[in-house]
Amino acid sequence: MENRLRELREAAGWSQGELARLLGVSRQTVNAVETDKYDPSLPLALRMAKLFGAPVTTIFIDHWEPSK
Amino acid sequence: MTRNPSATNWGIHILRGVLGAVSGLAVIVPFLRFAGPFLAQSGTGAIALSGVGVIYLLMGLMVGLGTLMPGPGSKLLNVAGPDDLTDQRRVLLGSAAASLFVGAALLALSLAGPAGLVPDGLALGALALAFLLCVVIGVLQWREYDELMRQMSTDCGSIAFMMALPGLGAWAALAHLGRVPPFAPLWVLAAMALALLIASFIAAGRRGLLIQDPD
Repeated sequence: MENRLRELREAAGWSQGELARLLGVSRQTVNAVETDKYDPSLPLALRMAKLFGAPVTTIFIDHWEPSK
Repeated sequence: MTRNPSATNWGIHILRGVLGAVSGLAVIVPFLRFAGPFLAQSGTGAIALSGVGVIYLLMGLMVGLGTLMPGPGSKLLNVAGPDDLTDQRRVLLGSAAASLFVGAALLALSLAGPAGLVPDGLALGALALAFLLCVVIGVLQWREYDELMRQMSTDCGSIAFMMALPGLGAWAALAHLGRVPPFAPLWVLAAMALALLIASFIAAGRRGLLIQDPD
């Protein structure tokens, strides 16, 4: 899923390792999310939202639209 | 900032490949001198199993030593830097230990049998110990894993099963119908161990962990 995690992390001045420690995951997990190789669980996405003070829908961009 | 996977990375990949090949030869050549004649008599199953065993042993050795020495280890192992090895020290050492035990057990089994170089009881004991340790290490590692690692571990098991089942199943069906020779028991063990190894690379590759993208 497309996301703005790298952009938000860099704006906060954190390395992947620093963000990983804050979130309680490995650096590889942060990297996999940023490079769109892994969609985080809902609890982790909520933790990210809390950390950056932004709604989940701002961090993760879903282009799905309900069919009419 | 993202490092561009450029000439530097290719150089590291080539260096890792060369070191892997050299260390592989350093183990395989003396091993074949010692066990080659016996393996040739034991059949293709024993040869395949010993080959897989050597791969597990080498991987365990490289991961273990690399983790214990994060500086040089980060140049040899597929990680972004020494911090990755330090942060995941317990998980990596656990994996290295499991890999070493499995490799040694597979090798012992390949060298056992009638007139074998390794006594049957020793080979069986080594295999039982390796399986037991794998279960214990696996449970302990699962507690250490974060969600990505747990997902990869699950993916790895599924991929390995989906590789082993059609391969061994098709072979079994064809052997039952007399179209191919029935496989030696050691082929089953070698195929399953190899499937697990290949699956771990596929699972890591799917999550982008085979090409490191450090910040």
